[in-house]
Amino acid sequence: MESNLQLWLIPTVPLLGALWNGLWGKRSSERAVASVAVGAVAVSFLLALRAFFALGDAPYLESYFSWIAAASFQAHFNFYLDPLSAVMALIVTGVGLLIHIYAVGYMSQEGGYYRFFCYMNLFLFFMLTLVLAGNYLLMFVGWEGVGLCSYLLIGFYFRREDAADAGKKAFITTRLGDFGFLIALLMIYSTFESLNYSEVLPAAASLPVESTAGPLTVICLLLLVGAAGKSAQVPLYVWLPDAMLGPTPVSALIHAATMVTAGVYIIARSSALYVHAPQALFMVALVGGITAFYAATIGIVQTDIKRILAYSTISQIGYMVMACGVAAFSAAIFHLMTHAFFKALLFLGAGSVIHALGGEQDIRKMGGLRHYLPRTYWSFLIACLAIAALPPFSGFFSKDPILWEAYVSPYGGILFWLLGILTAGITSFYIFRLFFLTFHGHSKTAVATSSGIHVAEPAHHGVPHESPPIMTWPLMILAALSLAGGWVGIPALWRGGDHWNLFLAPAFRLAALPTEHAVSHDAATEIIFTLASILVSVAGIALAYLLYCRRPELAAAAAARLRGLHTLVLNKYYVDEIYRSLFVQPLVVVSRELLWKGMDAAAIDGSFQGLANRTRRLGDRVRRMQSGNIRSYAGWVVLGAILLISFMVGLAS
Amino acid sequence: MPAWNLTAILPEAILTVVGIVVMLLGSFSSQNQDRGCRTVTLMGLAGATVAVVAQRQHQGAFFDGMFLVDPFGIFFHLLFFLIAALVVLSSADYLQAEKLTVGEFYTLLLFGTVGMGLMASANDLILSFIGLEISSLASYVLVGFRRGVASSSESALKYFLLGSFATAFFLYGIALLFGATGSTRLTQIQEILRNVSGRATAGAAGTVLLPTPSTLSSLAQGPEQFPTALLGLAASLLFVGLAFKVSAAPFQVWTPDVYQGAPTPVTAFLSTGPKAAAFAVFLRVFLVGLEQTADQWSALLWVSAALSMFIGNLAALWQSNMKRLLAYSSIAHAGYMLVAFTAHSVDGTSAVLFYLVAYAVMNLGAFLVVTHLGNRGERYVEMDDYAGLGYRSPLLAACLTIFLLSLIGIPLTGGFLGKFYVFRSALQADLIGLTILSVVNSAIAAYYYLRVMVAMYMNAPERPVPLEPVSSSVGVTLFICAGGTLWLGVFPQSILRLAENAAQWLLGAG
Amino acid sequence: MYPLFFFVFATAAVGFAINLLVQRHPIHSALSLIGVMASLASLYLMLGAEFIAAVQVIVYAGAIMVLFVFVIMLLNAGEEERTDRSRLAKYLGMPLFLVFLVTLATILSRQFSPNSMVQFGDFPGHTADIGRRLFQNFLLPFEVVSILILIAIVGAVVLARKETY
Repeated sequence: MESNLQLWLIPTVPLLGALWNGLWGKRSSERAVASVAVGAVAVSFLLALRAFFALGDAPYLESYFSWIAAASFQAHFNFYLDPLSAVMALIVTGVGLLIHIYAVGYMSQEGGYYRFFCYMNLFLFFMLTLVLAGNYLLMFVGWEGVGLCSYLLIGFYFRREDAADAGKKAFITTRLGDFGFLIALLMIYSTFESLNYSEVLPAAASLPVESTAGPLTVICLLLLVGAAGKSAQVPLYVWLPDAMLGPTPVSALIHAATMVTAGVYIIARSSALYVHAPQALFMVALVGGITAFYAATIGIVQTDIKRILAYSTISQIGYMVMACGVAAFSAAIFHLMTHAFFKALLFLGAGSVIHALGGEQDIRKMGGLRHYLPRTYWSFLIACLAIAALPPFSGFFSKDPILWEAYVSPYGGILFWLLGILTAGITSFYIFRLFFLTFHGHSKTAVATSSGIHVAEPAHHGVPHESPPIMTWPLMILAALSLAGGWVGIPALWRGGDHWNLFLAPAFRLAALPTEHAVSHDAATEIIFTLASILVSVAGIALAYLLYCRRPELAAAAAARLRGLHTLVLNKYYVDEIYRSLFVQPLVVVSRELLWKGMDAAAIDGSFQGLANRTRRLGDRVRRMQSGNIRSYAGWVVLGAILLISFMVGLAS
Repeated sequence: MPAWNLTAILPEAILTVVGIVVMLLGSFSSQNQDRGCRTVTLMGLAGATVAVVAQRQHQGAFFDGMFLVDPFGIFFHLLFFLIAALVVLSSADYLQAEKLTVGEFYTLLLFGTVGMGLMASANDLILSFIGLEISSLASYVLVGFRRGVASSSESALKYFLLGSFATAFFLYGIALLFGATGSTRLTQIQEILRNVSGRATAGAAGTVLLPTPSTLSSLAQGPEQFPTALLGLAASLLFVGLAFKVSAAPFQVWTPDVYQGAPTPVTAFLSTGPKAAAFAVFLRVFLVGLEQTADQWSALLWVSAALSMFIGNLAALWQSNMKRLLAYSSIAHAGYMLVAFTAHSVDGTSAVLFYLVAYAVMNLGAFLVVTHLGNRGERYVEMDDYAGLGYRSPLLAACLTIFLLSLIGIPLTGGFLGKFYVFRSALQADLIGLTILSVVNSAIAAYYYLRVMVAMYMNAPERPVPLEPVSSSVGVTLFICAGGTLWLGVFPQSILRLAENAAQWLLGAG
Repeated sequence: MYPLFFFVFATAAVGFAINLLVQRHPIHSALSLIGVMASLASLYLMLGAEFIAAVQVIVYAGAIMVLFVFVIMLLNAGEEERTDRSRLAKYLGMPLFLVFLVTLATILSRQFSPNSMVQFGDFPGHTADIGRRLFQNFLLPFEVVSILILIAIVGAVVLARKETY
């Protein structure tokens, strides 16, 4: 291994790009802005590639300077490279590069071109900091930073009130999770006296497995809270569907391929902790499994193309989290990678469709687009086949190990396998429903004109047309990756080399299952399981074909038959509404009615400020000014003092 | 006669003299005296800073143990001088625009700083009280400095009346504490209470205090019984006075009105300087003097911290006036600091100190932007006036963004590390409930800071808001504040070490 | 003898104080304040605090009250108008205050046993002692008070001065 990889350059280059565009982008041409932004990501990608190939057996650590060196607390700026972070860095920069190139075309002729690329580069800086960080605190820096960029980019179409609100919702929801992470971090420090992976992970590995809930379990559960926030898992998933109001490349990069998988990354990174806290691991699997299934069911009935993909993302991340929960960490990261390919492709393809239709996002108003958008059509089909997990597409090779592990892992069980296989069937159903409604059937584009709200999206009219090459080339590259990206992990069962697992093994060495899993299954069982999952996927596709291509009236009939259920799912189980009335509303009531209207506004009323608004006689005003509400304030002080004194004295006696 | 040592009070002496000089300068030279006054004031502050730094070699107790030169006091002195210098720098344009007399403004600022310095170093409650009065009196006048503006005068009157009310509580607390222990010297009180709770022999308590045993001291009469109720009463009265000054709930009622009515640079000063000074007294009184009764007052702090955070953050959600919003945010931040205070540990105390520095830098910066945008007569202080600032003045908006991010607590800013230490110390002290409450609060708080950012970057201006060019002094101050906020987030080392040193000294040496 | 005097002056002090608040005309209030100060001075005297008692009379009853009366006369201040806008203060003010008082009284009476009560005329607070203490032990606070007074003067000038431009 090289002695000095200069890992810090990988995130810093996009940061410089962001600074450049932020400072001078306004005055530069679109071309210049795009070259700086894309160039920065490309350099970063090459650097990541170099780091990847320089990777040896042992994790590689680069320490720059000491960040906090108080007597009781130390943290450094250090980066950490092992197979896990190398793979993550490659995914982030690689997919990021493709999406940047795509965005050059997609975002052209929209306001704030430089702003967009500035935020995007800034996002990559934080994301790379997150994955390359050598300790939990630095990771938290990236963690918060990506949240901030996500907020900025969701609210990018700032003239839309709902976009700004969605941004805030995302920021605050994930922030709740972030503090789970923060507390976990503090507990890690108090347990291990360090935050560096290179010290915490071995220390955790040397601890005994906790049979009852101990500090490790608490830490792991708190990390799970953080992961659930960032990765949109139950119960903190509500922000992701709304986040789709951002520009499509943002949805692809941040809300599908990279940021939302940070939760999976952190669990995988802390795998050494998790395997010593089986109860936490079980919770992880449960959260993942439930999310996967739950979000998939919502995906069935949605009509907004990006929202369907959003729920699909939630569901797929649920898969990864479940994989982590059954201690199949390398399978989880494998799926993370293939998902980054095909989900980015789906989003970019959807973006291409939206672009072609002048901002239309409702799939009921689409149809027959395959003739107009051939390249988008074919790449989209590949992505659909990949997510439906049909061999030989990448999704098959990454999803199959998860299902298998969910069954055989000592932490798994038939329940998780069932959740997984059901989700797989639903996934292939809803994704092909989307596919058939969009690309097949009759063309309904005559009615689909720009729907007015999407003012900020490019507004074209007339016949849908294929996107420019700068947008379709990334699609084709991603399509190739979605097809072949899974081949690096073909298991031995399929005469593959199992390269993926072997490659990642050093990263999860410390998470080797503490109890030897004695259960051995013969190849026949595994083949049966695999066949079952293929069968379920095919069934899903067939059903979608039947309902939305052959006999469209059947779909409507089914919806009518199951009206109650249909409405329930269509309204996303009313979870948003429940959250609003349980958490948001009480806060609003307390703050608005009691503190603001009750105390604050009353205070203003009694003072000059309020009177000035109401225009009274001058004499009256002066007199009022003197008394104001000092007396009532004094009353509050006395009341407080009495309570305090009685409290203190009550305590004393 | 104990060492009559001028070096101990050299910084205060310098500031007092400079204050008088500035006052005379302001009244004798009628034309163009602004720049001269400012230069002299800044030089005075620089001189005082040098004196403080030199004092590190001459630590100890002076004036009959009344005045301490210790790391804790030095830390606060440096902080006060920094705050005062930043306020002086940032207020120049404002004073000119508002046609306010510069000389008196700086004089009062300097005298107020003297009072704050005395508060931070006082080991005797009498001296604390006088320092508190000096800084408060200066604040009252500064709040009412815009005489022509009714809301300013109203705020001053309100602040004066309520402030005096609260000081009366404080004074009563001192009297009762004296009644209970026979001393006003904090270290002596600590000693006495330790002895009493340690069931030391009788007499010891009485003789330490006064040459002639006081008949008033209940301890002198029956040291076997610990005067818990009386001490509790004294502690709660002291608490009322100090909580008022740091604007902690439930004694925060005055804050929004006064902060809104005061001239903006003064608001900036109030929310950082006197607040920090009150925290210094708070820490000294409770962690040194009343150390033995910690199990009583820590519950009080717990409640007050939680209330401050919730009231501050929830009431801020609906504010449209920036000054009022920052006033409520200031209440909430006092709450976070109280959380660390509640931890009652070296870590907690150093967290409070670090937070005070971070808060001072970011809050002064935020208020400076508000001052600058407010324009003549503070006409543009509504949140709507910030619409589109991101395009009209990207640098100003970027600075405000840094301050807001720091107030939210985003990593790589001082505000984040401040919160981080606070949470850490609270967690270490097993204050799990309180930690969770503060965590929830900092999530709520993000909402209203984000509203400002949304306005700046995502809304179109509704009415034309004139934008004055940024003068060099404002520019320098902004740079210091923004740079300081980031510096504290990335290289917190030096300040942290100072804070830790001060905290160790405070808790260890007593 | 002393207890009797105590109760006389204490009652007088409280009575004058209440009168101060109840009176609507500022002059009456000011005169009542003199009564309060004088009664307090007598109480101090009985405690053996001759110095404080003298200061009380000279400074408060003398200088400050004269100033008050002057100001009131000069401004020709009329009767005070009542502005009871604050409902909290109106309905809860008195009860709150009483509760506060009772709380304090209970605590204090519980804390100090009757035999530890103050002994009148037996307090070692001679003027010379006070002077020595003030200029030795409490020198710093004494000197620092001058800054306080200076601020008060500057503040008064700042707030009361006419606009010069």
